[in-house]
Amino acid sequence: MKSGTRPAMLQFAVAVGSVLFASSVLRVFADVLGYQAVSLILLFVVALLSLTFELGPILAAAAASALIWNFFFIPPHFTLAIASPQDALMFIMYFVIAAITGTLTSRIRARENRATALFTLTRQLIEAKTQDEVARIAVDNIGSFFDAEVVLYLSEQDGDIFTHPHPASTLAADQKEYSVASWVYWNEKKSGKGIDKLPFSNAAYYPISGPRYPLGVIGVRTKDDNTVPPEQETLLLNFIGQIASALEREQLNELSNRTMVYVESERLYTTVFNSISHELRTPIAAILTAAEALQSAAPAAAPDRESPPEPDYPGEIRTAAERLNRLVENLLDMTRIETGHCAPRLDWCDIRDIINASLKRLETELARHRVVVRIAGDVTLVKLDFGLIEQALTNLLHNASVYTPEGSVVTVESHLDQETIVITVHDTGPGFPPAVLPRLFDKFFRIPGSKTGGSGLGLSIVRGYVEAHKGTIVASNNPAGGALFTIRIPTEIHR
Amino acid sequence: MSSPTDILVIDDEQQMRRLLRSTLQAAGYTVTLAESAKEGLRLANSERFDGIILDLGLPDADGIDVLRELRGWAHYPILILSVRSNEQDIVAALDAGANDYLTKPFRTEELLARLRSAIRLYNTTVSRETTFTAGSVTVDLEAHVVRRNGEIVKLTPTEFSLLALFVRNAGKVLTHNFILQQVWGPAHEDESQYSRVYVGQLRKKLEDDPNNPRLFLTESGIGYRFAAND
Repeated sequence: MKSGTRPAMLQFAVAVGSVLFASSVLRVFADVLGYQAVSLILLFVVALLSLTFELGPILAAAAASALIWNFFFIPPHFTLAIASPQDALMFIMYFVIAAITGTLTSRIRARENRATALFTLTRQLIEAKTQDEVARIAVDNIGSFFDAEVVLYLSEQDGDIFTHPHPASTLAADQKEYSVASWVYWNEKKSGKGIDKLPFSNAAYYPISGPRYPLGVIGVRTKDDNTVPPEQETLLLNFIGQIASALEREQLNELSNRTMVYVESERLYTTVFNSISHELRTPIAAILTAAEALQSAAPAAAPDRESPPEPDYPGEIRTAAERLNRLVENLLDMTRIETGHCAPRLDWCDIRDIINASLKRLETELARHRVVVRIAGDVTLVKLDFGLIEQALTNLLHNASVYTPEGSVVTVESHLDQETIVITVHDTGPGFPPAVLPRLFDKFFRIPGSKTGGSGLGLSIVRGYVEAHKGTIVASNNPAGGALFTIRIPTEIHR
Repeated sequence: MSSPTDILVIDDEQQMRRLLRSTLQAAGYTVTLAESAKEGLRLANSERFDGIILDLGLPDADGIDVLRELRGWAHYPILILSVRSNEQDIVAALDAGANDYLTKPFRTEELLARLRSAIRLYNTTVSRETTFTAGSVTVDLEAHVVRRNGEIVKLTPTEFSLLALFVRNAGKVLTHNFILQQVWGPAHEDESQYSRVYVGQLRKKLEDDPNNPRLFLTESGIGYRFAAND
């Protein structure tokens, strides 16, 4: 307690001194007042003292005043002998009353101190606006009321305990202290110095328990004997209870603020992304529609004429617009991957359906290739994002259609390897120069000297989508010749 | 077409409206244009159309809301034509009552084919035929008889009700959710593997080449479409 810091000797001296002073003044008027009245006035002085002093000095003052009264005021004077039985009774009663008054008053005062301290803490906690403020208030109040150094560990967002004490802490803590705090956190039981378990630490640690999950740990080391006396522990636990509810309130506040910011930024992202894709796709759609209209309005010149073929302007526009469209789609896909907006929406898929969908989209491109599909086992349902895997496969097959000569064989295979689905795409084309293999999936990477017309995004999108499924993709050269891509995705399988 | 078919186009892009008008007029349709949800709803309310082409990205309202409102009283097909290409948007539009969905950029041929088929399907649905033929498969919904190349194919009750659902909605995209609700009931909404498993079984029993389905077509990440017999 704070008053305990005042040197005890000084309290004794002041208490006894006050009694001596009052007695000497009273001695002058003793004949006028009568010694019985003097006893009441001395009793009053002791009662006054008990308002500020602790129990020990008060009892000392009570004893001193009793003796002084006896010695100087009760006849016969200057002797401790008491002549009449009445006076003897009064002497005893005087001492008892002085002692009781002192004790009761100091007990009430202690209780009031505790109530005030708790009230102050609660009021400050209510006004706190952040977790850090709550932490600072907790450390300050516990520190000053229990005359202690305090160390505070808070829980992290993911529910684990912070490895470093909160910066507001006044007690330095090392790894050993942390391990005790951590034990207290996970077991939600007090521990540490002065408490039965793990006595090798410097401070006593108390869990800060929230209604749903632990919120942190407070370590306390009082400056005198290093532990909180048992009669004050109840109050400390009350303090911690108040701190817990304030901490929980602030944690929930911060969580809801973060959620709001997150929702707001997601909404903004979606709006901007939708608007950009709208702005890019709409003109391409207009160009393609207009080019098609032109083509059907002016059918190709009759082939039987001898004149050189007319340049197919609408056809050129369409080809260019389609290429532009592929680029825009790739850029949009890449943006989604890079901003972390391609979280797969897993649902049951028939792997054959995915492969068929990709092949159907590339019907024109693969018309002059021989496509082989091999799927091991019966109908296989796996949990994948249909759209993402279809796009990944489409990009791989599109590459095969572009970089292998006509008539090449493109093979898509799929089988299960325990809880993993394996999809391979290989072709009988030229394969890769070994030096480029490590860079093949890099953004904008293009094999030096390869055909123009690619953005270098296709394969990095494939990797992005596969990795979004926590899968892997490896490119290699087929021992029998040609490129070989192997996708492995861990998945749930319905057999 | 004996009588001209009236189409309402709701799209906020002026260029797109102009192009759609000339494309549709060239194909023999009568076209009315609206540039906002408000105008579109007003026109749809006051005049009679045979079909609507609706853009989802309208400036004054969300296309899905417009779709829901139209679906309340518009008894003709609604085709969505939008730049939004992600599966959630498509599924949401189909579940809100769109008859078909096409993403921009689109092929003119594809748009005309989808529009034609949506209008035709809408009218045949009303007539409620009880027998249906697609490729080598004949389904008699009343007699519960399914034949392939003239031979009776045995189906389990669940397979039959799934097939009946497909046949009654031939040509239309059915979302996985819709199929689950209709065949298995709302309690099984989370059992999304059912539709895949049973479609697989139907393909095995009814497709000429189950690995290259021609009847039970997969709509990427959305659901299935039973091929209409054009």
